[in-house]
Parts: sequence; C-alpha cells; structure tokens
Amino acid sequence: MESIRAFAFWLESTRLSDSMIYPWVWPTVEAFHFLGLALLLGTIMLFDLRLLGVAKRLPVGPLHRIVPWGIAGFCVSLISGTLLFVGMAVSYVDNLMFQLKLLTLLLAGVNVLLFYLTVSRKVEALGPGEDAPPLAKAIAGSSLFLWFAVLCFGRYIALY
Amino acid sequence: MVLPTFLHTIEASSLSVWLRESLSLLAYPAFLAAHTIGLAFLAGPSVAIDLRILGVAPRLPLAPLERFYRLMWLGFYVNAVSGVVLLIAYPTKALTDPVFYVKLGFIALAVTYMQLIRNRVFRDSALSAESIAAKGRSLAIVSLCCWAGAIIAGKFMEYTYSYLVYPS
Repeated sequence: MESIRAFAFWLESTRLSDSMIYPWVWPTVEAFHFLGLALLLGTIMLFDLRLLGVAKRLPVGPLHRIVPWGIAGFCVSLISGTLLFVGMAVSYVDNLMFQLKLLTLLLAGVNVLLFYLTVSRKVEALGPGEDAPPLAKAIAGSSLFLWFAVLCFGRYIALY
Repeated sequence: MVLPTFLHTIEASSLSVWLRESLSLLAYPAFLAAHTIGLAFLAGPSVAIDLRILGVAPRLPLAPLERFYRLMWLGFYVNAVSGVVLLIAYPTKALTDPVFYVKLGFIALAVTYMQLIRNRVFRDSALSAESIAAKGRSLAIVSLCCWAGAIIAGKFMEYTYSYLVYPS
C-alpha cells in the first residue's frame, strides 16, 4: 500500500495531473467518462437481457455485432477515468468506494473472460426465440449486476 | 440578485435537510446512484437502437428491439423521481443554474425523438432496410446528439452552479 501511495504522489506531481485541475478540463473529462458509460451499459444491457430471455426474437449472433461499440464505450471511460485518477491520485487510492469500484471492475472483467472461454460459441448460434443455456444466463445476470455495482461505487467516490 | 424565497422554503423542509445532511447510504447517495442507473436504462438502449438504425449490426432485426422501450420508459420514470428528489435536496443549486434548463431541454428533445423513432421507424408496416436507412438516419443522429448533450449538461451542472444552497 505504501508503494501505491508513493506512486500516487508521483502521479500528482506530473504536469498531466496539474493540467487536470484547469476549469473545463475536469468536467469535460468527467462528461466523457459518462458518455462512455452510457455506450457501454446500453449495448451490454441489451446483450445480457437477451440472454436472460428479454426480446427473445433477437438472434444472438447479429446482436453480438453491437458489442464492439460497448467496448469502444469502455475504452472512452477507461481513458477518461485514468485521467481523472491522475488528477487526484492521492485521494483516490485511499477511497474505499474507489477500491470497491476497482474490485467490481476486475470481477466484471473476469466474468467477460469466463463468457468468451465457455459459452460464447454456443450462444452466438442462438436464433430467434431460442433459449440461452443456464451458464450463459448466470454470466449475463452477473454481468448486469457487476456493471451496475461499478456504476454505483463510482458515484459514491465523491461522497465518501 | 434576490432569489425567490420558495427555494429557501424547500431547503428548510425536513426532507431536504435529511437528504443533504444524512450520512446514510439511503439518503442522497442512493438517489444519485438511482439517477445514474436510470440514465443507463434510458439512454443506453436508445443509443444502441440509434446505432442499429445507422447501420451497426445490419443483420439484427429491428422489430424485436421495440421490447426495450418499456425498459427505457422505466429508466425515464426512475430518473424523473430521483431527479425531483435531488432537486429537493439542492433546489437553489439547480434552479439558478442555466445549465439545468439546457439539460431539461436536451432530455425533452431526446425523449421526443425516442418516440418519433418508435412511431416512424418501428411502427411502420413496410419495414424495409432502405426505408429505415432513409427515414431513421436523421432521427437517430439527432437522438444521439441529444443524449450526449443531456449527459454533458448534467455533468457540468456539478460545476457551473452559482449557489450551492440559498445564500443567508
């Protein structure tokens, strides 16, 4: 933990960190963080809900083609989030909500990995009206839960 | 500038005081989180539908996506309620900030376009790919811009206010 704090102090001493505190810069980067969030959660939500049985007439293969846009949204949020972290690294590292956010983010990532290592091929072949296997449903449900947990912990950072 | 006193009246109410001062996760933080979850439910699927209309995932049939309108309206009501509660917590902050009205304008437009897409793209019996591309394209672009505008304005409201609470 000490070395992480030292790293955070170093990050905050950089010129990139200084530039984050200019008026407009912080809110603009935060706005991008939220735009990425909407893109990520919107597309992932559609995919997960279909696997759980909502709008079952959607074939999963073609629906999967929308997921790269969710990944693009994730990248926007990741880059903007990293910039926000660089701007206030010292207070973030000791923030419990930030730590919980990173933990749930990690779990969400493991969940994505699990999906592509196990059921993704089977799920890809699902046509209109076909039910997803139980494991796919469990992964889809966990995905929704974990991403919304990431979102909630993220909102709590500034309040605690 | 003299601010309307009803702002002070709202702020002095016990609900408003509790929302601002309680450290409970069930107070202000819960409504802020609900407001963000609602944003994801409302703007998220709408953005995905806009992308589909603009040509992403072309083999995806459009019609079954209409099921997500119920989810989007659920998100809208969650945000209307949580938004009013957040407004009760800090009425002076939001109502004296022009950006708040810009945000409301973007939301009104975005929801209008969301319904226009439902009526003109989804509810059209002749749902051929060409007619979707032709009719839906401009609707989808405006819809995307309005959601982006609403989100950006909402984010800036946290920094553009003149008074956090009613000046004493």
